[in-house]
Amino acid sequence: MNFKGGYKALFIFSIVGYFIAFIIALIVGTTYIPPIEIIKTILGRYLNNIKDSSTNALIIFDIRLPRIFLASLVGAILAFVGSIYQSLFKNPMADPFILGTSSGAALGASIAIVIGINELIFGLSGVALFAFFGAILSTLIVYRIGSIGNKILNVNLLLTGVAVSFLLSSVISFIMFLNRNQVERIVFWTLGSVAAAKWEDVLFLTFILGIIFVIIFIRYKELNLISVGEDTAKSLGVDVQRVKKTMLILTSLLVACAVSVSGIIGFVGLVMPHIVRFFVGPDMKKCIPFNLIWGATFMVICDALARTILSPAEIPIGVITSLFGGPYFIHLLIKQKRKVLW
Amino acid sequence: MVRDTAINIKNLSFSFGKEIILDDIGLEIKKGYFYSIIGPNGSGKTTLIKHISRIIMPPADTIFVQEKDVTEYFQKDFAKKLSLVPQEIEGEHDFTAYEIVLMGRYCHLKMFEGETKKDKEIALWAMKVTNTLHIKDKPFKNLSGGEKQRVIISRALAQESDIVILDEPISHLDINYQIEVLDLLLKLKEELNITILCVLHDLNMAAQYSDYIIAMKNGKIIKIGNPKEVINKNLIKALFNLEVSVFTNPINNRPFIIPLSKFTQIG
Repeated sequence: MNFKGGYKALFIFSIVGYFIAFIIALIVGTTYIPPIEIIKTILGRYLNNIKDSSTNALIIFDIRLPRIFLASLVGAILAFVGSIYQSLFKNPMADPFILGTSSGAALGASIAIVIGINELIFGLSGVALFAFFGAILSTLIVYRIGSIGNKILNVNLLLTGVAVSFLLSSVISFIMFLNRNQVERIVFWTLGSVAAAKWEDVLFLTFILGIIFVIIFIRYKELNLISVGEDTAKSLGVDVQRVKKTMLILTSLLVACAVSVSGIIGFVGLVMPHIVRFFVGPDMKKCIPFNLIWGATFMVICDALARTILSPAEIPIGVITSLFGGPYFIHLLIKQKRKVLW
Repeated sequence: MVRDTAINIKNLSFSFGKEIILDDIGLEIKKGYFYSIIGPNGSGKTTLIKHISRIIMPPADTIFVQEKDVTEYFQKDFAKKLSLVPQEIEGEHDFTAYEIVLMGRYCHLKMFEGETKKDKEIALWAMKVTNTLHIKDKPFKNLSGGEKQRVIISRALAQESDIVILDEPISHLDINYQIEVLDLLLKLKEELNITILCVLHDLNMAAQYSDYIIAMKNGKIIKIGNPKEVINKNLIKALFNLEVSVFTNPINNRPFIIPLSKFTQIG
């Protein structure tokens, strides 16, 4: 696939696509709100300063908007981090949770659910806070075991991630076994959801994604060189270990933040980077922006589906991402295979 | 004419577990000459090169590049002094040949700065020199072994370093490209005064092109000198346990060897 010189057009097109998805997601849901109503309510609040406390205003401002923003942010973060890990580790199977982040977060959340911490701490729910520290802790353990001295060894790191994930998952299973009445809550959390989105979460994630995106994006050249090979990057002048360390610390932090508010949403971070690479090529200067925008769009669409398909019931978003993203990805793989064969 | 030192190695040893790979290496590479390293498999040639190019960081006070301890260089500054064409070329990516060559310019870019017009011109020049301009927009992974090799040499040229180190640069190439690559290295030496250090398996090629040949065995340098001093019956026997006849190439008066088979004595 080639868009010679047309990347800018494709990017603008993608942004337009995102806004269309955004607006549709605002309209649909358990209650259908006509577009006219939405425009009136939003303009009313921001232009005319009307304190509108109708049901529609409540749904738009307190439920749907934060939810759509959160879905966008989580989707963008997962696709972004996935693309970084795939070039950093030169491994097409790498995803944002490969360093044990997800199982650590799930264990933290399970503990919080079981011991019943329900009050807010620093405006965060106990479950989110425990999930965050679980994620950070497991990532640190993996990082510590996976590196020798000052060197990060890819194979060691990835294998340690897998091992720690299995270990923590069995601890979670054990906790569920001992607390059968809480199983549903734990399982639901691990399947991921952006239903409980709050404006604080949105602001916090925007802030941290903004900072980390800038720090990483200005190093896209180093990422490109490392994706060719670590020894090559070294001989061309990249301080490989330092770049890797910086990237790993920042991305782990980002993923831990996302996971703590949304649960474990699989698939996006693994597959979106491949889809982006398929369309725009290997250059991270192009890949990173496209991952952000496509990850966000994909997640907004998935969330809209999650709350409309079986309305009023909600399907966990993690189920939707794989159910709808999977077949498309398989289609791309087959298409790519055909291109190689014929 | 006084030529200064490009690379100076003192007391360099390296072992892997109990196995000694490099045994007290001492070596001086003079600026602007063509050096080849010869020796049997496992003699430590590649390990030596990896140390010089900092792929394996040597201990302090063992290797000096242009009079400065290699452990004291910043990564980018080192890449401006010395470029490497490795033995194994990584091809598991989707970059085009031109993009790969342009990566050679990384060490000249300021932090967070993109490639300028000048960088692009240098990359194109480097591809022209190695005769790879016509494949510049092809994906690197679809190229043949020889094309890949020449693209990687272009990348090393794009680095514009004073020293180019190559690990078996001609082993994947057809004979015409072998000559082309070695001629190119000779040209770089003559016209740009670049120091060449090159691992070669083909002893005759080493003899025809080198100013100096370094013979290694069991992690030691057993002989260093001009081709006439190094390429002789006894040394080849000591290095490879192989009987050879040594002749003189009538075109350039350099030594030329013919290996003797143990089984068929023809004539």
